[in-house]
Amino acid sequence: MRATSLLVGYGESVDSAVCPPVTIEVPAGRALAIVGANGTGKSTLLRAFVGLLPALSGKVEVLGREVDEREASFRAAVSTVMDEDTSFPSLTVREHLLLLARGHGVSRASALVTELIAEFGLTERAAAMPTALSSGQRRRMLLASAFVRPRRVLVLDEPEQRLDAGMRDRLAQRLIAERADGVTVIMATHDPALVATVATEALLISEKAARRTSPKDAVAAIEAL
Amino acid sequence: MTAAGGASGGDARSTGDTGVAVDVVPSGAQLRSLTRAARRGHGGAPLSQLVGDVYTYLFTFAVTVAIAISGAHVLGADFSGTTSTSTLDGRWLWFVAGLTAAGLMLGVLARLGPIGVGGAGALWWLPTPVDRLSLLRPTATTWIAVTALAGAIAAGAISALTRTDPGEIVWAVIAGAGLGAALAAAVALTQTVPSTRARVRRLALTGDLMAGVAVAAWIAVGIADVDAPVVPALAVAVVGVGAGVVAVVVLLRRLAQIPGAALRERGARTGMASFAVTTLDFRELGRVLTDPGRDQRRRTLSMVWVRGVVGAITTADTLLLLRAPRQLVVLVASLGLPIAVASSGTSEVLAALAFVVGVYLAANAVTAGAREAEHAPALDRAFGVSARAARAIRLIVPTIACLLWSVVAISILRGLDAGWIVQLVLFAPAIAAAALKAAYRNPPNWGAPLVISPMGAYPPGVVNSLATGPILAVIACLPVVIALFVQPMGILAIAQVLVTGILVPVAIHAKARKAGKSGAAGAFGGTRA
Repeated sequence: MRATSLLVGYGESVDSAVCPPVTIEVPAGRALAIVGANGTGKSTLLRAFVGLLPALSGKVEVLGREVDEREASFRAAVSTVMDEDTSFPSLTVREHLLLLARGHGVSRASALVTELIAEFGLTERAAAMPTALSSGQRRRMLLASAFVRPRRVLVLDEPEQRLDAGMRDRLAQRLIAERADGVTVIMATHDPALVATVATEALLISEKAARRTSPKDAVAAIEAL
Repeated sequence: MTAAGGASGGDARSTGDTGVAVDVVPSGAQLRSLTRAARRGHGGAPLSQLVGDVYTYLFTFAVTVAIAISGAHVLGADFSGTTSTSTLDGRWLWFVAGLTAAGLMLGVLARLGPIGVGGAGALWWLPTPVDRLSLLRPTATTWIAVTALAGAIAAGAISALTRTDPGEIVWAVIAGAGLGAALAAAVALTQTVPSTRARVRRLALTGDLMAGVAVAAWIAVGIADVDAPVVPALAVAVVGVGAGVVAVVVLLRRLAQIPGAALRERGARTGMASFAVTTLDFRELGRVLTDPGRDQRRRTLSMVWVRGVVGAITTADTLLLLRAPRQLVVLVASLGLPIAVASSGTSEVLAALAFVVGVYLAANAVTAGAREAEHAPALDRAFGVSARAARAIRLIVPTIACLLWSVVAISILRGLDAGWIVQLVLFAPAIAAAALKAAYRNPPNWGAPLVISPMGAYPPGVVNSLATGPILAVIACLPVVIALFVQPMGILAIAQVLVTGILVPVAIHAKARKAGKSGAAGAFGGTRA
């Protein structure tokens, strides 16, 4: 994933930018943590990375091609968990995961879904409708959805949100394994433990600058906020 | 304790021990005035923009109808005839349409509450020790009045359709008003006991089933040509008024027993529905009215038949349809519409119009999956196909459903032959495309200056957003409607190929995102996260 002089915002001109321009490259098998105070534009930047928000200037490339979220190749490669609760209406948790897995042609879909449901602590709720889950359980289901399908890039917006400490630890281990499998992980986070254990590099955003830094410095920055 | 925000206006309040200074509390009238001023501040778009949009679509609709009429004339159609399948005893219309109206009203009332306190009321009124009965009585009486009026109008219309004498029409109106009020009061009474979402859902489902059974019975008695029993209109009026009075009196005595949680939940739902109606957003209204209790556990399917993205999306759409009884009821009820109109011996033109309305209602009912995907685009993005392909796949279920619907309708209305089958096979993707385009249409831009009209504030483009589906549906139906008058023929099949060939690509097209088209402006010109 490569961003070049990327400026993002919700207006139509560069004056409406919500954070300074970003230039960064994250190779396969690496994990980037985007950190900064509330309101510095972390989620907005992620939305631009996955093509949900057009850049005001600059460009974003994923797997060597400029991002167009409408394209099949992009959708097949990029798995996202953004700040939205989405699930297929009228399907149970297990059905939702099965449908995604089988829709991507995953072999052993049933076994994989069973494993993920257990890993994300949803075994007792596998037959429930998503609307009957607590907000934390829905977050677990969405995270499981990101891992039930093939992916080369994983984009997560504050994945630690609404998770208990145990689940955060398991998520960190899962993300380390993803990285080891060659998946590019990009996440906006406020969780110092997640940055320390998962990230290989960090992007620290403030109102004045967006600069690449080490995970250690990013942890210090989070703790200083 | 802080002096809680009562309604009395104009007086300064002491703050108690919280240390929060409270200035003059505005009166209700002042608050409404402030709201109007804020709305005017967000206005700026000329009313002519709204009127211009309406004019454009009415003109387009008129041109389309003119094309249909002139086309049918050229092909030798006669518009003066009446439907030849006039077999329905008019008195059945009373029973069937009455049951349908009652079922639809029950479904809506159960889903919306009917008694609820939303928004500011839920925040400020419910925590206070104010007398609950006086708080809720206006809401209850409003609902009862509205449902009584709806019942009266429905009964009057049904009675007028069956061509009964004026005296009977008056009794019918009185009976409808009484039964409507009784229905609202009875549903409200169910709120006085603690109720789970599942119970609310069952009640709403009962209403849906009543409507479905009524339409099925309508078709059955029409085909079987059974005489309807004779029931004096006066007796129905007495029963209706009696039931209404008893139910309303009991409700007004028990109104205070409705739990606060139920009032908040139903109030929020009613608020969303009201907003959808006042902003003419019927897609949102459909979402609000879709099952309040979809949260039960289910037997989980293995999905072993799903192989790839086509199977996945069509399975999701099919299960959404099969697990939402309301959509199935709409599907059946919409089929009854043209059949019932034709059975009542009215003009061929009205029967054709009923066919268009019916098939579009059916197409809308089976595109719920697309509407959900528009609401939550991540559902389409989750698969490894392009946005265009995802939309094309979402055409499959509506196309099959619309084909089945049309085959059944035409076989009853006209009798099915090879010509009709070809025509309908070509037609089904077009009407499905119209509904799909309506489902994926862009929402109006609420961030732009609003058009302030006497009916309320509307975003620019709301008419465009609303009319997209219906106008495409009318265009999709053009060749079939002509065929209804002149029988299917080669030229109409070719016309249908052209229409379908244009509508399907239009429906599955996914626009690129443009800068400045999403999100709301915040500090520093943009929303931060």
